[in-house]
Formats: sequence, structure tokens, C-alpha cells
Amino acid sequence: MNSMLSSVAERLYWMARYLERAENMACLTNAYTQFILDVPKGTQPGWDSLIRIIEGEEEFAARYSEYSERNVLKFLIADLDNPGSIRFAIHSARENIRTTRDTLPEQCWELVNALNLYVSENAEASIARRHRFQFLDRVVARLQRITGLIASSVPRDHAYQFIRIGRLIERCDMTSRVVDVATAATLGRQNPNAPEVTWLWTNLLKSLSAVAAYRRETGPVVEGGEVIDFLFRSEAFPRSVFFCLDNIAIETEKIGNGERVLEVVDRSHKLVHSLEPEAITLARLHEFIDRLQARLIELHETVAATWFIR
Amino acid sequence: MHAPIAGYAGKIALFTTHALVCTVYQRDRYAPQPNRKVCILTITHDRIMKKKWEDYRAPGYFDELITEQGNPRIAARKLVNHFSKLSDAEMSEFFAAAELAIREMGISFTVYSEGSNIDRSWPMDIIPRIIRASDWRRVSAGLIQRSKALNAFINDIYNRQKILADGVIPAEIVLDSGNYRPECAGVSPKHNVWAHICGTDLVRDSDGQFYVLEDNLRVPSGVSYMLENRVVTKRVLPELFEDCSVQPVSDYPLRLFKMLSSLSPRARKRPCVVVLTPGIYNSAYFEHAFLAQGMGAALVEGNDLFVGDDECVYMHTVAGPERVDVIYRRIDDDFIDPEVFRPDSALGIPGIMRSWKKGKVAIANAPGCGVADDKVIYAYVHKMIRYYFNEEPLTRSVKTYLCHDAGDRDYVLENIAELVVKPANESGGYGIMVGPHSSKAKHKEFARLIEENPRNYIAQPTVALSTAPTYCDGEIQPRHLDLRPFILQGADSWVTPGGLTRVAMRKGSLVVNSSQGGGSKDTWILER
Repeated sequence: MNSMLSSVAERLYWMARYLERAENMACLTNAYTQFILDVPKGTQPGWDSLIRIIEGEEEFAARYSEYSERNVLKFLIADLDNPGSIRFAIHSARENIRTTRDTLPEQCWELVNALNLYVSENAEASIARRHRFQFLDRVVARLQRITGLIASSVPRDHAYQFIRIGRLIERCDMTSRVVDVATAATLGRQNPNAPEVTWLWTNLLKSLSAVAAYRRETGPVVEGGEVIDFLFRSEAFPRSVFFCLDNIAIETEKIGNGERVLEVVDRSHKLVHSLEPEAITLARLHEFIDRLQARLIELHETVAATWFIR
Repeated sequence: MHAPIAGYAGKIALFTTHALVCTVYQRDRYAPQPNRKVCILTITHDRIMKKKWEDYRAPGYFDELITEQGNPRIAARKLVNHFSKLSDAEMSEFFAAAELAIREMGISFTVYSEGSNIDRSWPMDIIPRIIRASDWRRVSAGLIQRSKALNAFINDIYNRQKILADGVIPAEIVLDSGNYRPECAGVSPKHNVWAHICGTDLVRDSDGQFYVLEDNLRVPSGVSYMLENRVVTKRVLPELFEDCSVQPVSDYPLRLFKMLSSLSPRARKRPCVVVLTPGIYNSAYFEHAFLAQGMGAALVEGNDLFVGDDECVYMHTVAGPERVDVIYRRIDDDFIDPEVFRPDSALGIPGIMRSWKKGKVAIANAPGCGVADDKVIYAYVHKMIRYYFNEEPLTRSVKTYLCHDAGDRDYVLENIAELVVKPANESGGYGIMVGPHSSKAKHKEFARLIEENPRNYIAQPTVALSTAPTYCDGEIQPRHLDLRPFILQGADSWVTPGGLTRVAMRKGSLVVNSSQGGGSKDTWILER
């Protein structure tokens, strides 16, 4: 067995991040749409929350003047110039896999390529609510198929480890952003326990496929503090921040010479550990998530400096 | 109960329609019937391809599937029979299915045009081209002999230069050529082989014989398309393979890997083989990635590699530097080492020539082997075979006029309207003038070019390229084609069964290059 090229490791890492990003964005967009449908007219939070989640305000403002449903969804689903859009993520995943075909199961390229074709042909027409659900659902299904293929066919060597690390960092990042969107949508409201806030949390759990897991671990009552605790600190739920960090550490140890990466993981872990979800105010939560995001950026930079620099 | 009944009904109906249409055609052709109107209606409703195949002719050319009398050649009978039974609608469905498969499989090539790169879907015709196994055995023996002679020639040129001393080939033709690399003199690669992968272009003239048109020894491409064409045909028309035993092609990457492994400077069970690509913007990038995947080799760019203090080549890996044994390079000589060739090249690896000359890394094809990839040298290949092996050549060459020879030049200038004029040192079909298809002004322009730089031009009689039935706009029409088999040479020699058939998709055109609107066909070597 030859060791993996640094350039290939980097591309696999990014491929995994983009695939995970596309899936998360599709789930989130879908969940948010469902949520808006449930909330009585007049009390709905705006569509701008979705833009804030990916920190796309500037990009958005450069191209659109109004945070209308159509504009926001066009930006998130179909806009190839928006680095946060589903279409961009899938396009980028394809470009990365195009240059690493030799390290993955044969079918992998074909699945990603076909998905890219599907998205580029259908994204524009899927912005309207009527087609949106089916489109996002299909995108997610195809992405899950790719994930399944990787899980069942990629040998547990460097290729797999870098795919894992990319996916876990992205997932960690997205979970914290999802919590942030909830805070963004509820911050400044008179009553943080209004029914629509509960609806929002439920839908966000749905967007992370976390409803059943939450119920088993915490119980049927959906309440802000509990959800935050679950999404950040569940030991068992594969999308929680703790779970992701723990597994990044496991994969890092398998690759070897990743001491600096482990050190950043450890500091991130401590940060999340210090959080007191029951007592936290929404404003402080937002601030906390900013700090966690900064850690994740540092984590990415350390991974790149350790293994990707040539 | 319900399903089987429906199934039967469908089958019977289909049968009846086919039978009916056949009779309708016969009536239609031989004796107009009173109920003709009704018949015509039936025809337009579900026409089959049979008549189109019956009417197919390619006068003046050798056709690969159909004889002059309009009958399928023996080897092609089953295939033609199968296609004749399809309806128009089915045929266009298969065509669309092949297109979709190609898009989904991401089989593409890159065209550089108007300052940007466009990724185009690979154009493939769904009607395969068939060559009899007995014919092919003769051709492949000739190709192996030819490629051995070319390798003996290159090795001789960079070492003793016996063939020049003995006056078989004029020395200045070889040594003054831009393809001769003095930097390679004195090197003897393993097995004395320089051109490990050779893509030889073959055409069939109106006499039905194969002729070698040119030998591509630098970085010949196209083999991945040969393999993918077969995959697409199997996907779209699996029934075709039921009664035909087609020689499989899919083991090419394995053969390539074995050949490359046989070049390794270190004796290892699995040497470190890499594919060196100029990168994603190269027109053949798809193929580079395809072959790397097929061989389980790393696909590297220049900056993934470096030459260490011990003059070995290493690649940057996540576990630190790792030594490379064999480089299958898809970069031209000019760009491979900025220390030796073009200093501005960002694609190559500084010092790689030093490493190669010391025998610490193998490079395929070896630097400098382009000296035999020259249309002037082409004219001497048969002499090489006789000179080195004392054998009679088994391949046919096209008569070639060398413009640097005064007698040949006069002939060429006089008959320029009938000849094909080619620059000695270009590939991809660029800079070629086909006399019979060109204007008087073009003839004059090329006459001037020849007189200015005779060494740089050769001329050949126009070959009546063979044709094969091709599906174009719903019709079956003759289109001209050529064939590029690939010859591997390391410790052993091997020829692909068949090769990449390229088709000139425009009516009457002789230019088959994909960069100039050419298509392709799956190529079958068929045991009867």
C-alpha cells in the first residue's frame, strides 16, 4: 500500500465537506419551508435567517434587493455563484472527485456526476414550493446513496479517514449553525416560549433527522435548552458536536502525526463542555456559537497545515 | 393471472406488427396494391430500419459491414440483422440511452475554444464496427514487429547510431529534427524500450487492406474511450452480445500496469507507479484519471513530486515523502523538466531527467522517443525492420513523398491537387491539406510552404478511407473512419484487441479527430 498523496487527501476532505454541506443545506431548507407552512401568517420569522446561517448576507445583497422567499431559495438552491448554495456544493464535490477518481469506488464518480447533472438541470425549476420538496428530497436521497457507498466500499485507510474528518468537521459546523438559526429567528422576540418557537425547534431537529433520537434520549417535550444540550453534547447522536469532535479525534489518531489537530479538538471539546444550556440567554448563545465556529476554523487550518501543505 | 395475459398480448402484437411491416415493404416495392394508403399509414406508424439497411451502399469505398452488393459481411450478419429489426423509435431510444449513459458516466473530452475550456460529452455512434479475428491477428503481428523496430531505432539513435553510419537513413533527417533530444544520448532504458505505449493510426483503403497512417509515440491518447465505448454498448444494447463472441478489451489497465511494473528500477512486488498529468485543464484529463483508477495508481501533478538529494523521485504523501518507481507521464518532453527543457514549465519536476538518466526512476514513454514520431521517419520504418531484424515488414505503409528530396518535391508540387500534404511534426490533424477537398488558393499556399521549408512537409496519395454504417439524424449513412490500436511494450509486447475507431461524422469528411467534430464507434474483434 502506498501512502496517500497530500493533494489527494485534501481533495477527498473537501469532497466530503461539500457532500455533507449539500445534504445539510437541503435538509435545512426543507425543514425551514415546512416550519414556515406551520406558523400562522404575521408571526413568521423572515427567510433571511437562512441566509444568515451560511453568513451569505453580503453575497446576497450584491445580487438581490429583497429577502423574498423566491430570492432566498434561488440563492440557496440554484445559484452557482453562491459558495453556500446546494448547487455550488455539489458542483464542487464533483470537481474534487473528478481529480480523485482513482482512490474511490468506481461507482462513486458516476453517482456524484449524475447528481451534479440532475441538480444543474432541475435546480432552477425547483425553487417554487410545489417542486421544492420533491427536488430536495431526491437530492438528499442521492447523497445518502453516495454516503452509503462510501461507508460500505471504501477501505478503512487514509482515504476513508480524510473523508470522515471532512464530513465530521462540516457536520459539526452545520449543527452549530442550525442552532444559531433558531436563535436568530427567536432573538428579540417578546416571548421565547411562544408556540412557533417550539415549532421551530422541532423542525430544526427534523432537519438534522434528530427527532427520534432526541425523544429517546431526552423525552417528548421539545424545549430550547434541552435541544441545545442534546445537539451540542449528546455522546451518542452522530450529528452532535461532541460526537463529531470525538470521532475526529479517533480518525486523527489512525492517520498519525496529528498531535496539533488533537490539541485543537481537545480545546473545542472543553469549550462545549463549559456551556450551560439551561441558563444561557439567546444573546450569549449566539456569542458562544461564534467562538465555537472560530475553533472549527482553527481545526480546519490545523488539519490543512498538518497533512495538506506541500 | 392478469400479468401473464398482458405480457402475451403485448408480445403477439409486437410480432404481428413486425411481420406486417415486412410484407408491406415488399408489396410497396414490387407491386402497388389497391389498399396502399392504409399500408403507408402503417409504415409511418411503426417503421423499422430494415429498408434503410437494405438500401445502404457506400460506392467507391470499402465498407466495414456491408459488401458492394449491399449484403452484410459474414462477420456482421448477426449485428446487421439485429439492427434491421429495430423500429425507428427503438433506434432513436437506444441512441438517446447511449447519450445519457455517456453523460452520467461523465465520459467527456475538453475542447479549448475561444479562450475557455469546454467539457464536451464523448460522441459515440451506437452501431459497432466489426473486424474479423483472422484479419486482426495478421494486423497485430505487424504492429508488434513495427513497434519493436521503432524501439530498436530510438535506442540506436541515442547510443551507437549504427543505422546512420550505415547510411540506411540520412543522418541529418534524424539529428536536425526538433524531436531529437541530445540530452537523452547515452541512456539505455530497461529492456532497451523507449516507446512503451504506442498508438498507431490505421486506415483501410478501397482494396480492403489495412495501412499504417502514422505511429504516435509521444503521449498517444484515446484508449480510455475505447474501453468506455464498450461499457456503453454493453449497457445500452446487451442483446447484441448474446450471439456474438466479442474479444473483451477491459483488461487494458491491468496490462498497462504489468508493463509499467516491468520497468521498475527496484525489484518490488508492487512498484510505486504514478500517472503524471498536466492537470484538469488538459484535453485528455478524463483519460489520465481513468487509467490511474484502473491501475490503482496515484494520479499526480508536477508539484506532487520532487527529486531528493539522493536523486530519487518522491511524492508528497500524508505520511511524508514516498519513493516513486515508474512514471507514466502524459506531459510532453518540453515540459517535463525545467532544468533541462523549457525553463518556464510549471508542469514538470526539476531534476527528473537527472534521476531518469541515473536509472533511479522509469519514465514511460521515455523522454526523446518522439524522434521516431515524425512523418519523415515514417517513410523509413520498413527499412528499419529489414535493417534491424532482417525480416519482411508485415504492415503496409502509405506511399510517402518526402519534400526534402528534390525528385519527390517536384512530384508533389506538380500533383498537389491530388495529394494530402502534412507537416512532419504536428498531431491532432492540424495543418493538414487534403488536395482534392481544398481550393486552388490552398494548393498555392501549401506549395509555397513546402518550398520554404521542405524538410517539414510530406505528401501522400489520398487514401479512400473505409466507411461503416453510422446512425445520423435517424438515417443509416456511410461515414469514413480510422482505427487506433495501442501497442504495449515492456518486458513483453501486447496489442489491444481492436482499438479506438474514430468516425468523421460530417458527410464526406475525412477528418476523424474528436477536436474537429469526429465521433467514435465501439470496435469488435469477432471470432466467427
